[in-house]
Amino acid sequence: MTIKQCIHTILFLVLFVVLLRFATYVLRDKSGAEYIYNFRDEPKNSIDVILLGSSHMYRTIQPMELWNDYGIASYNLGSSEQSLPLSYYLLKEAIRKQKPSYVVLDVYMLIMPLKDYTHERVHQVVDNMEWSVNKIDAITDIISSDEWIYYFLNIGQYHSRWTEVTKKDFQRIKSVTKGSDFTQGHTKLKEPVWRKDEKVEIPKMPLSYLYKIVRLCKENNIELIFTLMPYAVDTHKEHTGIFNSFEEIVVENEWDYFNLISLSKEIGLDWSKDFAETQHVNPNGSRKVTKYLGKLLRNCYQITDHRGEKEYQSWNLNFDAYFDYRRKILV
Amino acid sequence: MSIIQQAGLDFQNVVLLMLSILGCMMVDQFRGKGLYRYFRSRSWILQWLIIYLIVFAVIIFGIYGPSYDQTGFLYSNF
Repeated sequence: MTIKQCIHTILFLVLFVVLLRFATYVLRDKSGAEYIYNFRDEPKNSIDVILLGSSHMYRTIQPMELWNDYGIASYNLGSSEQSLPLSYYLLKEAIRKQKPSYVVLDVYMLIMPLKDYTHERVHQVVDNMEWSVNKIDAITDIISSDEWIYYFLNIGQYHSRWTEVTKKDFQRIKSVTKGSDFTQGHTKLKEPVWRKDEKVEIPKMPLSYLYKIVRLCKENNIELIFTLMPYAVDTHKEHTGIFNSFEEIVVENEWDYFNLISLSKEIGLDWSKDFAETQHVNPNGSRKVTKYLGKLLRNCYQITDHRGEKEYQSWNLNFDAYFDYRRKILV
Repeated sequence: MSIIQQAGLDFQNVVLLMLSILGCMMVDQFRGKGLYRYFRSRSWILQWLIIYLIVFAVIIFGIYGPSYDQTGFLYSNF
């Protein structure tokens, strides 16, 4: 092979990779991508609080309202049915670029014993991570080896979407909420009855990853706060039992844990008005819970108020955009 | 058309199928009549373009992968 041929071959392969990346981006199913994808746009070391968990987290806590009310710089890295392993790898991803002082983790997904539940959900997280050793670790840990190829080359997962591609698929994924969203609607619920005496063993898999998150936070001097976001916990028989067992572990380890279902009176939640369905609060409820969490973070922890700082000017502009977005969807 | 739709092919796939058959027929027609030599005598840019086209056609239009295994790979709202 001559030098010219060598250069030609390399050029051919480089162009191939570029084209493949482009085709992969266009063909990707982008539903739910905006929640995590835009995290990469945050300036280095600008985020103080990382929020993690399932839809209970990202459909309840609105970072832009924490900003406007308290000047807290947070990002909601919650995603639909985010298993504890996914939360663990997302946190590892986050601390590659950010130095958060606090992590707020919603513990609802302790109920989920499966690592790769479901492929759609894993894709929604992993596809939105930047390429790194951490992403490779996440894929090889969570997914069985015969499926790896569809995560390393996810065009294999999405190529059949070529018939559904629209103009939007070519545009950059964009969001103004810093990872959160709303659930609209209204369902009349009753305040759940919490039986404190019932105990159900927590599934081993999620608990082991919860310990990993605890260790990761300790190693990085991050204060970890656990929450249980409000939902109709009594619609599933074993849920209260699992969280009763968790409470025991919390006391044993002296962790910070806020069961916001038990605190719903203090929050001012109206179970007959503030819920979209049994699993999620509606925008009204979201406002109340976000406000309460902000107050908690402000009063019990020393979180910096960044309002008025030059480096955070973009947050004020972003709040205006968020406010417009909120007003539009709440019509 | 409705029979084709019942077979699980939408409009785009029918067009793709026809184009593919046309492509097959053309290659068949010119095979052994200097098709490869003709291809190699073109500029390298054109050669690359054709190779990329063929490779990406296989990657994108091929019937393989989880989306063809499962019935519906759909995200629900939550």
